[in-house]
Amino acid sequence: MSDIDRTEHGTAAVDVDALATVLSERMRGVDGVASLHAPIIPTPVLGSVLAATTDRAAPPVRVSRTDRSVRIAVGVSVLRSVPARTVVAALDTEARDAAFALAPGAVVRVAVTVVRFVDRSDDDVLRTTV
Amino acid sequence: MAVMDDDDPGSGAVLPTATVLALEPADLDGYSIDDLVDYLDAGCRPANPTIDSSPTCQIALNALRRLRALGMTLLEDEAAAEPTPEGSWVGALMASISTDARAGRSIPFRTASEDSALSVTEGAVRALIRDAGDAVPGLLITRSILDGDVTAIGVPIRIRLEVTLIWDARVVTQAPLLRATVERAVRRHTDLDLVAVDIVVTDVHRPSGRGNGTARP
Repeated sequence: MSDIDRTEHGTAAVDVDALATVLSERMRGVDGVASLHAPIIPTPVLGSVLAATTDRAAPPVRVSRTDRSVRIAVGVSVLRSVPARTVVAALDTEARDAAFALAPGAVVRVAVTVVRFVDRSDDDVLRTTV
Repeated sequence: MAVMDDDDPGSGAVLPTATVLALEPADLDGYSIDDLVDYLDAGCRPANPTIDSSPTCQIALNALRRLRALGMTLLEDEAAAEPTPEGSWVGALMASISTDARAGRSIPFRTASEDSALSVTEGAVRALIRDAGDAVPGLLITRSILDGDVTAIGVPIRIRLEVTLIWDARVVTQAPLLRATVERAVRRHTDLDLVAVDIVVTDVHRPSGRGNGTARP
């Protein structure tokens, strides 16, 4: 849970899963985003590896909470027609806006990794006949 | 699907493609490269949502599609017909698919905030380079190397491209074109401090029916 208010009368909090769901929806709408993926996982030997998709129903954006900080991580496939740095910057902003709105005062750390470049959004790409 | 054993020119042994690629199922969201070949053979139907949404699977599939676009639909036959395993261009191509599919190092973007970690995977950049190279006729990128510490901002980086020259193409015209195309793509999508693109022609390939097959330059 992400505390947004803590008083003697009680607390208010945002569930991190709810934040992940909201963020996933908002991030999908960012210009240049073809699709979202689970974030990469650093490894000591191979460098980073992509997290396996084990639960397709789960939102791709991963949100975790420690004390007063919120950590947001996501992988993204980027359309080649939009510069990747523009896309990741927009996703960073989107993540911060959502996190600040739902968990004001929290330190927000955002990790966005481009994992693939595509020509069109995955909705079109996936069913392309080879 | 299988290719010739690159490590033993005299054996004529055929190895599973997955062995040559050194790909483990964990690298491809639980699928082997042979699974992906089968999926491609079936026209990607019925749709497999896991493969369709997996960046690593899609990078590997795109590389396989690229081979087929070059008339490599009978890749095993091509490999079997060319007993030049050491450095064979088929072997190099297939091995590079493995490299591309892996995420590799994280290449950072410049950010104003220390709380932002924005990056692109090395694998995505290599695939980007390969895709850019596809726009240049007559050359086929078999391997790309990002030479330098790509994990740090501002470090000079050289890109080394090993390419196969398709017979009749002219190096003097196509190499500068390839260099410019790759440079443009990398500068557009990364914050790498790219200082050079070095191109080495490692093979000359004659498409079937136009000569004796692969020749060393």
